[in-house]
Amino acid sequence: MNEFIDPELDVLPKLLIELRDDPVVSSIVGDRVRGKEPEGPLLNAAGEEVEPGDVRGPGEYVPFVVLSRLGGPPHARVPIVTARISIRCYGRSDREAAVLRNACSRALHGKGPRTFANGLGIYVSHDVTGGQQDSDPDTSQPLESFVVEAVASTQPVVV
Amino acid sequence: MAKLRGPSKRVVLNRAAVTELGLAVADGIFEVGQQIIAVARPPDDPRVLLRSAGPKHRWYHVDESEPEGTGKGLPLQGGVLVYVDGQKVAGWHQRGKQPKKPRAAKTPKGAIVAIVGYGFPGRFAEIGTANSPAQPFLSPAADQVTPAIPGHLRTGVRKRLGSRP
Repeated sequence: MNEFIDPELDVLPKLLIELRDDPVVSSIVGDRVRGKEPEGPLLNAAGEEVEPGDVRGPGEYVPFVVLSRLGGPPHARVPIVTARISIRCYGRSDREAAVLRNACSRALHGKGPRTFANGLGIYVSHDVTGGQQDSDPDTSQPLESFVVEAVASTQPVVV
Repeated sequence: MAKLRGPSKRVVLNRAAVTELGLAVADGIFEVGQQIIAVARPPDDPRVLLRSAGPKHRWYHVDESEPEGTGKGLPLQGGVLVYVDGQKVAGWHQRGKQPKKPRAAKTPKGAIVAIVGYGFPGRFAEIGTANSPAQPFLSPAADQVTPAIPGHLRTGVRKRLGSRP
């Protein structure tokens, strides 16, 4: 079965692009949809901060979204994988975090078959947990998180 | 070493109220939950995270006298709860005490529900925080155990009902 797994086919960056391209999500966060962790501050050659990163203290919060992989093993016989992606939606307030989570969920939930230029095929993606309200333990920024499951191909799909 | 505490009288009572078959399946699911906790490898020493958590989470007990990275933090926070028909029939925690049901967990009647998880701050280790990337440990463990679920259920059912004619 190993020959059916193409290491280039990764679900996370494709979901990230779909979220970034969603008009409602981008109207809230701009292009601040990140993979793995929030973007750090922009530094100049002297190491001085030119522009603050996504993570800011109380009163300076900015909305952003972080996607991270929770795993999902490939199917034993069929060249597909059920990838699980955790999505954390940070808002300036609880309400904004909830609105952002709903926007992200709407952008991905129940979205049917689509293929991408690199051959990745996603059959369907679903919000499988619904939102969980929380606040970040480091910055106390309000956040809502949920998990998306996407059934995707592990070998290129040609349409 | 703390003395292990068994299920309370109420749990024993609840077990008597549910059917043999329900209990057999619940025992199988309970075993699955324990297996997931046994397989999970949570990141050691959540106190690094806790120190930055601020006053909001001060209620969480942190024994500063323990050296860091000894596996006494999050790696010993795992627990399993099983409910049949909304009644608790089994509970287990790595530290020996009975775990509390999470407030958000629903245990409806007519269903067998197993809750498998880690205490605070396991959630933040699993999904990450603003300053630390996610270190998923529970989802991969569940993925690892999932293919063996029918086997665990079979064992549970056989143990309880195998001797029946």
